[in-house]
Amino acid sequence: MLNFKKHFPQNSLKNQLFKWLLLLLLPLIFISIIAGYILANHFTNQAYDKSLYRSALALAGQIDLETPKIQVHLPQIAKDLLEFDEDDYVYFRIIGPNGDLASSNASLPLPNKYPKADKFFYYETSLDDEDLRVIIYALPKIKNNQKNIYILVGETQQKRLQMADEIILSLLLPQLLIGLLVGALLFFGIKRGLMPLEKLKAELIARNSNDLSPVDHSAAPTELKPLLESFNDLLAKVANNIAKQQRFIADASHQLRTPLAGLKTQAELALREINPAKISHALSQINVASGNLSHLVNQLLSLTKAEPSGSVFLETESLNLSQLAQLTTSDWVVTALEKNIDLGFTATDKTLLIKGNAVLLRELINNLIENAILYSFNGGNITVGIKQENKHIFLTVQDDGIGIAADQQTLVFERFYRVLGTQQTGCGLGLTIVQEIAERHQATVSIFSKGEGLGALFTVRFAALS
Amino acid sequence: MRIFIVEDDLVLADGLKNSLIQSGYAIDVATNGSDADSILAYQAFDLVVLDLGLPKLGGFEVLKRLRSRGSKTPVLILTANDNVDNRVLGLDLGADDYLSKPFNLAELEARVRALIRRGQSGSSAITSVGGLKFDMTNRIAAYNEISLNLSARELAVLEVLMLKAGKVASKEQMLDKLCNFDADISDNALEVYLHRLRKKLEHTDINIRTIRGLGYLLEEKLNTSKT
Repeated sequence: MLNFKKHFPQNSLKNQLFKWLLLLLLPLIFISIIAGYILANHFTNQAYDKSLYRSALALAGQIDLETPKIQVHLPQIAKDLLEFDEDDYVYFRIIGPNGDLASSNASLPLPNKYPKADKFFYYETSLDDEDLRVIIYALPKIKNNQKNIYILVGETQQKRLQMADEIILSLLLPQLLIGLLVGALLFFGIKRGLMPLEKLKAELIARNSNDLSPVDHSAAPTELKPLLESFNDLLAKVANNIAKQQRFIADASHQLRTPLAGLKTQAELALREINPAKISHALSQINVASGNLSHLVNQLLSLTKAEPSGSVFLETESLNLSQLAQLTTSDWVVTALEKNIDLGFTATDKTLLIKGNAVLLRELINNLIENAILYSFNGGNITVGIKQENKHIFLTVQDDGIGIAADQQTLVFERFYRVLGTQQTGCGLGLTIVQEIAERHQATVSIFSKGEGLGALFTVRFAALS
Repeated sequence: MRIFIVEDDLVLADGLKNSLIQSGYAIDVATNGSDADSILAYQAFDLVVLDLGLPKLGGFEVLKRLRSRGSKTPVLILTANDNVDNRVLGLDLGADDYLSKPFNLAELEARVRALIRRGQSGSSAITSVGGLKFDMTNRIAAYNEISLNLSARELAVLEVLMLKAGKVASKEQMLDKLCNFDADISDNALEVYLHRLRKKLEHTDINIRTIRGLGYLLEEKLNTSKT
């Protein structure tokens, strides 16, 4: 059994088209054979039937109705002429009111019904195991009391069959040939048409794995252009992501260098010093720098997790943001107290649901609070709030610290941006992280600050989960 | 007291060793997992400080094997990878505490002390903050060894505050504890108990601070700069 699947794989366009062509052509050919057969038979019969009719009429001419007893003048030579046929056997039979008036050697079987005067019809019957086509013709009535006289002429069907076969063959063969030709032309046409794909494939294989440049599709068929354009879009996105990641790594490395330089310098100083007080000072500087470094590292990790390229699938669930905000704020109370800051919380509802990722959202809140603490004065006041208005949930962090000038309010979200003139030890990534996480939750972040020294209000707006 | 440090970073191992020696412990060090496993098989310790990222045999595997031998030695995990899944795995495998790097030395020392103490007295049911001691099994609170006269409900509130010492205890947590008693306790009733508690702790170094919208914080008065 031919392994169909192996030789005609399902996925081949060429073979699919070929298969469809076959599926369409075969029934068509089949139908045309049948139609042709029916038509061929029809016209062949028509032609030979006419000849039977003429024979019947000729016989009719030999019947004498004048005499009281009906007579048929049929000399042997006439009989021979009538029955002569190269291919078929011809029979005749003339039936009068009292039986056969004349007949050939074998007796033609009679039909079920009889035609009216001067009418005739053809019927099929068999004699000696041979199929016959017979005409039965009723003589026209000339006189009133004329009895029914029927003339039957029948023949075997060899001629007809032969002619029908010849007609069909002469029709069929060209059809088949045309069909095959069309098939072959389509087959090769498609092969030719798809050749640019082969070229493309070879080109892509030859590419360097780092090469993300767009594919040249000027020579490709129009149907493939949209696909290739989408492919190029995808390549561009991937290239962009990789570029972003590389920039990030470069940025991070640069940012790490400065605190590291500080560490090294202080350590070298401490090694040179003899004065214990100075050594102690250098060491405490080292301690501070290490703290900053570890904070920076943690923030960098947070940022990669928050960025879309960091984790492709963001697992989200329905979560209670009010409760998350309350718990997260609680965690910062003691730290805030160390700076004499009164950190509090207010919520309009203990249950406010949104769809989000709990780990990331905690990071978002952490960074907003940490930021507020960093830029608040000693003895200041920070309030974390959450409320629902219509279809939105608003998370707010309000402080009465140094505030943000209007022209800085977009800049603060940029990586490693620190407001000039502050001696704060933040690393400039906090708000970037907040922005990234908000974006991943389809939320918006906005700042409201009356200006320097007048505190700031950060608002993150989420869509509520109904 | 004998502590076993398993850490492959030589600088960190050196630092840990020296700080714990200063605290008066005897220290042994291993720098890879398979050495650690062999040593733990025949030597008993009061505490193991275990790094996770070890060569030859990973920290989790060392822990697994230790526990499978039936050892109840307290284990403190130190690791650079602090994601939640790792924490859960560590605690499930039988670690007693988890500290991520980098850490405050003071915090490490405090946790070491706590774990050793726990290892000594089984499950200690006594919490203390400053001079205040709360014996949870016997339901007695005392300040500087002098018993405090607290009602059952006041004790329940104090218990919540002390278990969460250093962190904010929310009203919900307190109400939850109080509803073990008979009727429903209203917010106002809670306020009353807290007021009474504060009065009874006036003479101590303990302060109960109200945190806006979040709950209450039990703290030692000496550490607060703002009353």
